[in-house]
Amino acid sequence: MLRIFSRKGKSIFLVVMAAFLVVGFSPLTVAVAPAVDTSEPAANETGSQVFIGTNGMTGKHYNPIWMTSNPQFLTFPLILPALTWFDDSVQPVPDLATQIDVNEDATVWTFHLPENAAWSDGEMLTADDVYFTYKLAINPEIGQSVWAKNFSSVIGVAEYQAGEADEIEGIKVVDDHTVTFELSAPTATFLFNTYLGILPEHILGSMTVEELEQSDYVDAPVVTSGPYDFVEYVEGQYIHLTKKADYWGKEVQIDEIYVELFEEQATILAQLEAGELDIATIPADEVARFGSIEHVDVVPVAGIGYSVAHVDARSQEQIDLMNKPTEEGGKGGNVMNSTPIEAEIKPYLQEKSFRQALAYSIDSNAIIAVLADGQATPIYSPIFGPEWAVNPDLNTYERDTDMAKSLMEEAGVTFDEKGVALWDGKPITLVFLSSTSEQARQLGEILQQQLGEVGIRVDIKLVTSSAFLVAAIGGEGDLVLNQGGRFGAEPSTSSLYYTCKAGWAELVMGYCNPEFDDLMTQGVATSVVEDRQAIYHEASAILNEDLPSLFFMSPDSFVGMNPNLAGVKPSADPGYLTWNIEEWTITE
Amino acid sequence: MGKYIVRRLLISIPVLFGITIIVFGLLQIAPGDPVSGMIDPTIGNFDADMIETEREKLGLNEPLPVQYFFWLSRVLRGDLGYSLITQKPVADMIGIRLWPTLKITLSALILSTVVGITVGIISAVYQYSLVDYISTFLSFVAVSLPGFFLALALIYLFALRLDWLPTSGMVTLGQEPSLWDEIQHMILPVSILGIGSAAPLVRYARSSMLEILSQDFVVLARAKGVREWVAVLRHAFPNALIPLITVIGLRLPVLFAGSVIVEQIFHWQGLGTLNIWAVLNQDYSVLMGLNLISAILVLSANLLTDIAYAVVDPRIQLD
Repeated sequence: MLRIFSRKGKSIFLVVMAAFLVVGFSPLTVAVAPAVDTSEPAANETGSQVFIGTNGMTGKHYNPIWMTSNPQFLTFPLILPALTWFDDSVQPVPDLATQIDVNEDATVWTFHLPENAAWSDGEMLTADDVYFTYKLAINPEIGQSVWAKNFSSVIGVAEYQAGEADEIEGIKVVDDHTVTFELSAPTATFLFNTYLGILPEHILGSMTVEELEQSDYVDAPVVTSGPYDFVEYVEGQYIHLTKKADYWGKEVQIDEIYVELFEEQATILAQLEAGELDIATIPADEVARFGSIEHVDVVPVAGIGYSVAHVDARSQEQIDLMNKPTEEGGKGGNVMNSTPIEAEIKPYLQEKSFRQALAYSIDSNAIIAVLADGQATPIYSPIFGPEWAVNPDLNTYERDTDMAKSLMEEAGVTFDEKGVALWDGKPITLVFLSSTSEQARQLGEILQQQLGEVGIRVDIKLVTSSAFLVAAIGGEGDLVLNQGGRFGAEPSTSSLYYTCKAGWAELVMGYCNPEFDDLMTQGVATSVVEDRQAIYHEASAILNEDLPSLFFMSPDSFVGMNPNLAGVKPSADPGYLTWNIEEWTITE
Repeated sequence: MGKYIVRRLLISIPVLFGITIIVFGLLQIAPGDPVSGMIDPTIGNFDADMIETEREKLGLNEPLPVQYFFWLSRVLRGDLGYSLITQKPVADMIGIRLWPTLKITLSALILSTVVGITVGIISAVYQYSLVDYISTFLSFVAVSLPGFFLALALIYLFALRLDWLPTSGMVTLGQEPSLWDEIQHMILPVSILGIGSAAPLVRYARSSMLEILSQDFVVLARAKGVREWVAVLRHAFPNALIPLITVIGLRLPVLFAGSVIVEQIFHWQGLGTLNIWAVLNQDYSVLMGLNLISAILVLSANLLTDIAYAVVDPRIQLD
């Protein structure tokens, strides 16, 4: 008879199985962060803990210089505060700085630091740390172009970047507690850029960039200046901070903060519902369900982002120019993948009256009702906040299909006996392009129905997020969905989208209006609000008439919160949720 | 045997090579582009120059064969390169996620093997009994139910309604780490992976056992007056296990594939979650690294299965 195991074989088998079980259930946790200061009190010995759920982290290091995603924005102000941060309406407010002075034409900005500011190892935090951090951030070897872009208006930054200067002329350390920034051009929005967390020069100052990137500090900032100490960051899982025992500034109430990182929104919601998380953003379509859960408070926050469809109005000449090699002033085709753009040109989209007809065909209120459950503000230009910047006299394009049809006729469109819109005798079809989401699909269907009523057929094309910009620039869509941005916080945001050299305007819409560009330049060149107001009113009127995009709405956002957590003022941008951490308390 | 193993290992080299070429090719055909994935269109702040700089920096402007050989030459020097999105070393990203994945897949393998074989054998011994019908019915249900659905249903039941288990994650934060806490977090993902994998094993074990039970040597054993449980466990059972070794060996790649979805749902920081993330972001270097690691794991599992087969069945000669 065949025996499956010899005596020896059997014992080996048992040992292997036992090993599997031990392996399978052993309590090993793999952490990337180096060993943490063991003198920290154990988690369950201290009092209050708050668990914040957010999306995952990107960025090469866990360090303010490489700050790109919400987990970093949520935690750095607590451990490594910047000169300024953002409040609940995403307006810059002094953070590390106690006072900020600006001269009349907004070219010299002076930051005063608190005299008792200190690092957790006892060293004093001074203006030298500020200078050191800014110089490091724009060092071309670091390769974080965002800072160079943010500070391009500071005198001497370009020279330093080009290797022509060893120091940055425009950043001056006046004394230990004062630092000034001199700008080459007036920039009223400068404080929107100074959110760079200040790093300790006495720890990092002697390192080369290479040594810095190899150092433990760039992934585990254990020397801190904020109200919290860094405990650990476990990649893909969480960041853990504990309250400093003797903080030089205003004391915080919450003893421990955990920022948990998630890839899946459904997982965040399940944890919030189960009470495992104390606070997280919830999508509009979950608001009603969470509203009925006793242990979760739903707090609405007015949005600053927008929801629009960019109109691809590029002409054949513009496409031909983009397809030319870079040496001949072109872009070498689609800048995303260097393939030639073979878009079907739809000349009617270049007609302003046709785009206006599209706006008259669409009922924004119906879109808001379906997509945002009524929780959104209709918008008529990308300049819809703050309140002083909003032009009250814009055309609201109330739905009027007769007006839409007559404007289409003005653009050269004809209609057949069934009411189908024709161009050169052929039916007009527009492609609605978006990255895949349920919301995008619903919006596509609403457009199909509403534009269908004026004889325009709409096809929906949904692609993966990484294929989205390739498709948009490749001309695969006529109406390209774009959501987000910080338009409601600062009117100059529009220049990042609608000036001639902006990515969306140049590469997708083919939109360029020099008059608008001029106004955008003027808008940041003065710090007098009344002057800025007039400029942005005019700029929004231009976009409201030109309609390079169909403007739908600015949706509210929602935060789900443990009702025992008090003092939280959720920000319109979820990344700034912890902005007023010192006011947070647990009430039980 | 030694010779056989060496030969198999040598054959694995061109197979691995082929797999990397095919996957590299497939990644290029997929629509989209890592730079496109890197730019958040909702932030909008991009321009043509920036895109060009990024592409140049990532080496995406090189011809495809050049990109492939860059990658290959680095891998041969033991360097999986850097993630296009996070800029972290791919080996590190995979390294810290390998263990969590092994933890749930190996546990699920053990669970499914024990449950699958036990239920299958009982089902065969008591053929056409109520136990047999119930196990047959349940295993068909388990095979038919998609893992993600079962996962959501169990989360709803055990985490949200009964509050017995955590909804997701690998540990409870803010508590002293404990073995029990970790096991609690493993119960749902391991069960879902294990149940899906046990169901087919029940069917295989049952039919394998039925076949053996009707063979002459079992009949002879019974005729000699051996007690029934001895006939089943000592005589029939070891022989019924032989074909199951192949089935179990082939479950490992299936478990790895299944863990992609289960990890995603349970917020389990393993290779599966990393895989989804890398696919969505078109992070070619991470995908190529993951693909290489999975290919090695699957090829090793196959080799081990073949060896185990020869070890337990002397009729099989590997040379």
